[in-house]
Amino acid sequence: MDAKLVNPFIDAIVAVMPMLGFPMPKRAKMGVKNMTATSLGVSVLVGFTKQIHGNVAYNMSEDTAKFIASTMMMGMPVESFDEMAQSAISEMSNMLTANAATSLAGMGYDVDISTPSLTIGENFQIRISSDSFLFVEMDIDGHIIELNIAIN
Amino acid sequence: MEKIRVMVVDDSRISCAILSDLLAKTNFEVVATARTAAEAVEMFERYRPAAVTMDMNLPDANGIECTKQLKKIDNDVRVVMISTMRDESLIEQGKQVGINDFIQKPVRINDLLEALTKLCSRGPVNVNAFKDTYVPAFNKAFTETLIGFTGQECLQYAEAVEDDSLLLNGIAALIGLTGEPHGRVVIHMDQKTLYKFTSAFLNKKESQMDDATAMETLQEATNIIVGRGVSMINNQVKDKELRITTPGIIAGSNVKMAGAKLKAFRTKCVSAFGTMYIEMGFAEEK
Repeated sequence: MDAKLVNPFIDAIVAVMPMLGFPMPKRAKMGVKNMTATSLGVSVLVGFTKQIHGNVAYNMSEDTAKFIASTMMMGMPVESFDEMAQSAISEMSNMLTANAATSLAGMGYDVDISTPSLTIGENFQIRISSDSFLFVEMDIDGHIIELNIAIN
Repeated sequence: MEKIRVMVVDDSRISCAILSDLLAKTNFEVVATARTAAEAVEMFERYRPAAVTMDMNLPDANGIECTKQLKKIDNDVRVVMISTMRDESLIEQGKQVGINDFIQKPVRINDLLEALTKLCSRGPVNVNAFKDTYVPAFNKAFTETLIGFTGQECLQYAEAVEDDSLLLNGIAALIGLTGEPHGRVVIHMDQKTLYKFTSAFLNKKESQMDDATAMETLQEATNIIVGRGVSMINNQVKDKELRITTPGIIAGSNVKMAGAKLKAFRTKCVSAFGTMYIEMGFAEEK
């Protein structure tokens, strides 16, 4: 897939996360995966239609998800990854993807995004491509959000 | 295609007859006529039309008042104001109470049809549409695809669901729906059923099947099924272009897919391969 399609997603994290109260995210690892990604605990899948097709999967551990939810909710402690925390993560994914979609539109691609599907579990596999796709790890205060991007 | 139910409110019997006649050969069905505001309310409660043509001058109230009363019963009702005079202040008042359009008498059939069509297709997709059109389309697409590719039939049962979350023990193919409404369709089953289904789909022996091929086949099958369902829906529900995203596959045990506050429906499909589930979730737009 085209590497230039990855930038909107990295830019989205850098633009949106500080607005939600997080320190500036830093880009960590970047690489290629083949067909599947293994869930780190919490994954959110968002699909694309119109001029860009494919899926993006935001992948993180449950601890990171709780940390993010807590910060989004003004520091309210999140003991378990409950419905409210899940809602926060879905909302974050929506904001990130919408922001990326706006950038893609700026690049000349008219896109529509689907409702985010948040999935929780240990070690499940997410297959978002029939061959290889790019992934980027963003470090937010020591917590990692893995962006798995399979779009073209 | 389902006919849209309309009520004609006019104090003139002739006008009622003319309007009913005009609509007779269209996809709008006049289910009731009323000659007074009181009758309009009674008929509305009884027949619950989706749209109402409202004459502004009724013997017992004006059209504005009558509309207010009808909206109290069902706020979603579409009302087209019909009047001999084009009165801007009346039109403005009409807008305040939710009258959606205005036509001057004598009514030309094309104007009326255009107004009604615009009104009735602009509205939010409601739950009945999901049940009556969307779910059956996906169910039918599923059985057609199953028969087409594997020759197997299946029995389908609607299962009640509280919300659109699900607990997965096996493999799920997830496709997002964008457009109106947005939502998602998930087809899932356990590992054994997956292997039986996908080998039949590819006309291969089960012993020759492997995880990667099985998942990719499910992905393709789901693409075909949901694509087919969406085509059927787009043919029936005009002006709402539904689109599908690329399928994603999730495989694991005890995996929880969180609900996204969608109106949810589930169809259990029992076949020679085992039990497969079609989970459908649609956003209710207000």
